[in-house]
Amino acid sequence: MAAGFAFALSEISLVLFTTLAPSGAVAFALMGAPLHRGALDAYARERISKLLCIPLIVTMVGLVASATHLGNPDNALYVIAGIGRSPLSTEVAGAVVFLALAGVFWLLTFARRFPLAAQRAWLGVAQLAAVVFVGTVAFAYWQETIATWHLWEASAALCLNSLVGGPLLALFGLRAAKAPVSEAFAKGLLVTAGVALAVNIAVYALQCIDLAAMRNAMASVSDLAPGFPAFVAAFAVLCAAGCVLSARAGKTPAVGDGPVGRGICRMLVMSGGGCLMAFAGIFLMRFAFYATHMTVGL
Amino acid sequence: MTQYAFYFDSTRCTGCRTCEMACKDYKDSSEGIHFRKVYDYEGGTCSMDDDGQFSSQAFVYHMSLGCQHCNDPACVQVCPTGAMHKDAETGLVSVDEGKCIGCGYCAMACPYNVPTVDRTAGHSVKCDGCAERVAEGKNPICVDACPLRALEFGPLEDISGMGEVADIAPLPPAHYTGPNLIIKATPDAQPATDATGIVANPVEVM
Repeated sequence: MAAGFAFALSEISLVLFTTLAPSGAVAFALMGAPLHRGALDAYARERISKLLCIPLIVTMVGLVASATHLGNPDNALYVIAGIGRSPLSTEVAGAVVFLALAGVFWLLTFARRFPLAAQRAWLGVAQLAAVVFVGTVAFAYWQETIATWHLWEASAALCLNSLVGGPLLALFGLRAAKAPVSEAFAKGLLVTAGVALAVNIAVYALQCIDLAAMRNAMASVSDLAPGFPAFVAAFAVLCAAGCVLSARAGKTPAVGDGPVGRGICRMLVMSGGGCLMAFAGIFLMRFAFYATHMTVGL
Repeated sequence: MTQYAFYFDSTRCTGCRTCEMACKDYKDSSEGIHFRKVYDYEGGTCSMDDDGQFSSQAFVYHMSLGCQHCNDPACVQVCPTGAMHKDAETGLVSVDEGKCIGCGYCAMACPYNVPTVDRTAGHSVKCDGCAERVAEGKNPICVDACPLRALEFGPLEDISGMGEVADIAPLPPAHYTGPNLIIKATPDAQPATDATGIVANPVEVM
């Protein structure tokens, strides 16, 4: 097995974290967007609010996965000491702030009294925290001595990954909530995912060119991660299939359409399947990212 | 602060690994964990002239490396907890086991392949310059063990005149972290930016 693949396997929990958490955060921000609309009725608002747990769970699964690679989580509180100095501390802080804001928002939606203005303000801050969190993950490995990760393409690719997986997951959540979102909004989510995918593939192509010439005294990138372009091709196919599947899942049902019928089940299966395919593609590229780890020296 | 530094005489080192074994024995480090490693750097070519005579541009030399206790250590920069720290008195870089979470970012960031996460212990481990021996006025164990006297250790100001700051292959260019390693280079030594050679014993050192 190539040395890079062995390294990526040893960091598989981080591969999973960086696959799920950024997309989950973006999905939370996008799925919450209709809650800022004034015309939304109380029942639909409640359904969307409750099912915001879907992107939250996806993000949490990623975070729990990342914690499993720690040797001694008992010392985790010391991470606060590195905020602003260590990009990893900043990332953890970003995750904690986002999950605290989003989680408490979700819990408060169960409260009898949670004024609409306060809901919108709290949600807006949580959505902002989601964006900041994705940024902190994108730059968590921005370290000059790691030559293969200190590339603008590496950070841009992670942000774009979240813009591929996030909208698809948000659309799945809204469909599951039977939210009365406009067709324009649903199409907007699909177009966002599609455009992000196209740009993401272009960024990966540029990254391939940069990585091809990189080597140190121990190995070259092609030794560490042979077949990087094949990973990009698989990513493109899986994510494109995910977008198509989600697009062909059908029109989002409105509240009051009646009990969950076979058509809605089919739609959710297709939409959920689309998400899984996109996540599979992103997972492959995150695996390839870790496989390319190479310092400027040894 | 007195910054301590290692000195390595590349013209003397035969690659015998005594430094590595002495360190491993003294530190009683686990299987697969080495605080000092010897890298075999090789490269170049042989060519045959028109009259059938061979000439060689091949090179091979050894680099015995512990931690460079850098001025601006990448491991310290990225450590999220502050467990990886540079001692204010000696400039030696070590791990505070009571703070380390074992995330491995130090190991990813160090361009000298020094820190390692000991999965059994649950935290990073690395060469600390035998800080407890230094405090007693002794040398690190690797220095005393070297049969060729290729290694020395002491205050940087005493050692810096013995060679140049480490800037030869397979090491990274010194500007990245400012290593406190002074090297007397063998005539075979290639610049740090060299792309013609390769570490010939990667399985042993990784």
